[in-house]
Amino acid sequence: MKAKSLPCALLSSFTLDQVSGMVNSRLERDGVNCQWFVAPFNQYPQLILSEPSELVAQAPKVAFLAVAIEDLLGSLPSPWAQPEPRQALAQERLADFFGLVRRMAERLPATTIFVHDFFPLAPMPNAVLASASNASLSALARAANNSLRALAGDCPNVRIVCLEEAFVSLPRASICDPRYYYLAKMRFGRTAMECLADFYARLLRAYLGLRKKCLVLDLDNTLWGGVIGELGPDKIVLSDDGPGKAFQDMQRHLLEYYETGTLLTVCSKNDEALALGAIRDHPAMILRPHHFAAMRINWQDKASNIRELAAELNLGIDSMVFLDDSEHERAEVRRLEPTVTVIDLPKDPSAYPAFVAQLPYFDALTTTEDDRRRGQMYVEDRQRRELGQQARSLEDFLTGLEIQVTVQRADAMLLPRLAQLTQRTNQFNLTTRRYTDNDLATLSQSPDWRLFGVSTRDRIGDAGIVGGALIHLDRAAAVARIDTLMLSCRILGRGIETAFLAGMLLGLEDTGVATIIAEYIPTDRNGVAKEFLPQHGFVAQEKYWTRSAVAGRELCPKWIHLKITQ
Amino acid sequence: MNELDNDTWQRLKTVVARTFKAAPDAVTPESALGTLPNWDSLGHLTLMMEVEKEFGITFPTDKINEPQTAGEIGRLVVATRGKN
Repeated sequence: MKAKSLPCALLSSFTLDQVSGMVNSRLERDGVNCQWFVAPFNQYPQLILSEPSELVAQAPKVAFLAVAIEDLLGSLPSPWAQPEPRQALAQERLADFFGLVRRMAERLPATTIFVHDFFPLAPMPNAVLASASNASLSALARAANNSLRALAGDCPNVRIVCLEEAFVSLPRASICDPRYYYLAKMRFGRTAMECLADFYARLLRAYLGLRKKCLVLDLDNTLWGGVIGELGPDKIVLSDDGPGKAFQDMQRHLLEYYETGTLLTVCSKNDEALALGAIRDHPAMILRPHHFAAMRINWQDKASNIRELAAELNLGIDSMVFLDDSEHERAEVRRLEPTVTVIDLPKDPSAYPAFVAQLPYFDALTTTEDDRRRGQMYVEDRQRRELGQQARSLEDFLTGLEIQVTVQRADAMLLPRLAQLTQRTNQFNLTTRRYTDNDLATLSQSPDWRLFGVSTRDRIGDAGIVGGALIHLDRAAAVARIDTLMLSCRILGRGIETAFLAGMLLGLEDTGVATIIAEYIPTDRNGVAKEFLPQHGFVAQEKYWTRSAVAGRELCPKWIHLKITQ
Repeated sequence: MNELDNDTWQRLKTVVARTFKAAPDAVTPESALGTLPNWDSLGHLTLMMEVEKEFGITFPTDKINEPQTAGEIGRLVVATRGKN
């Protein structure tokens, strides 16, 4: 696999250079190679303000800005001798710093800027007095962090690096190694830099949309303690109190992944009726049947079950993460399906909740309404499949669904979901070009681009935004080029793709384009999109496919109610 | 004077090579700041951090910038290991 190159910048008020190399080694297996511009020691203000600026010339896609509160405020008078001048000076310096961050965000509008928040590291004298003071370094840091978060709320390309989260597994007093601080102004020791590099790698994966989509969960000794087939449903270890609460707390964490768009599935060697009964009725269960997009409770080997789950949910096998207490099962899945992410759970269930809370596979920079509802939508898909099996004919089934398709011009609300679709859609995707929120914000400002989203709902439920298209307009030549067209595989087979094309062409009518150009870039995953162009009247011409951009509502299948909103 | 044994040297050589992305055979006891790419003053500190981790030892602050060559680092490792 050819590594994808990502230009990055690192600016800091202290020595942090080593983190860049550590991040690269972490992203190697994701096929990402960061090209670093590491700013000279403490030169960040000059690089942000100077005209011309080497930083702006580098045009990094991502920049990290690491400024320690000790470096901003360390030289102020102590909180005890002159508390008031100290606070006034602190406000001034912090305001200067926030001004720099804003300036940076303006000068690098296409760069996602990750700014460290403030996290005082060294113990301070007079801890008892400091606890009550408004002028202590901790108190100033708390207030400054609120202002920094407010700033990030105003600047869409500014994101916060929460150091408390990054260093959650380290004792705070161990983060700085004073030897290297006094020798070379390194505020973080080696272990802390490794930890920070882990966190940077998570931020970059989130930025690139490299997240896993589905958790595959074992039941016995994973979601609850004990073997249900031996103990019976009343005796499994799962409760609101005592050791059984560890399992419940872990389930709560898993529910938070579900609520941010990760699908949950079950893969267990068990008696199906017994296990399902416990999931449905056990009073201490947090996860219930409706949280699971699919289940395999049987005696088949787990690798086959995981393959089936991926196929049922239309997911690549490499987007599955397997959680099982049995070393034997884990080894077996690793051997048979090496692209599944297999997690080694700690041996002691008390350690499960903290372990599950720190899984680094499901990160995203933003969460969308579709993420919150994704799990439910997969359950609705299961109901549609069941309905399809009962219908007399395909057309009866489709008409009975009462499908509505809405094609809309993308507004600011829609961009994060559209960016997410470019990153997540591997199968029905003509060109597999990946875009970030920021990329799309730039395109949406241009008169030469039209961005469309398509949503669908039917009698069973609302599937939300299921696809999108990025169209580049050449008005002079009256040509529109489909840069990207993608649809969630979940909704294929109902004519929604055809309705989308019809809606998109209607949405382009006012531009006066006569011809629409498309391309199909094959990958090892997008075979399902191959027939879309010939099936919809596109004619192959060397590398490209073309068709007339004129089409009416008649292109839309008659069982679909099509709506277009501008 | 502490003698640098072969086992320590082989481990050290690997760390030096990995830190500076050099071929292990390019590292000799005479390798020093300026003789390998990336071995500058900051690179030296990075190397000392990696050496501390590899051998599970902690150098005193005033010794970290003392050794000038890979061989001298090796002898510092042997001396420090006795004391830690």
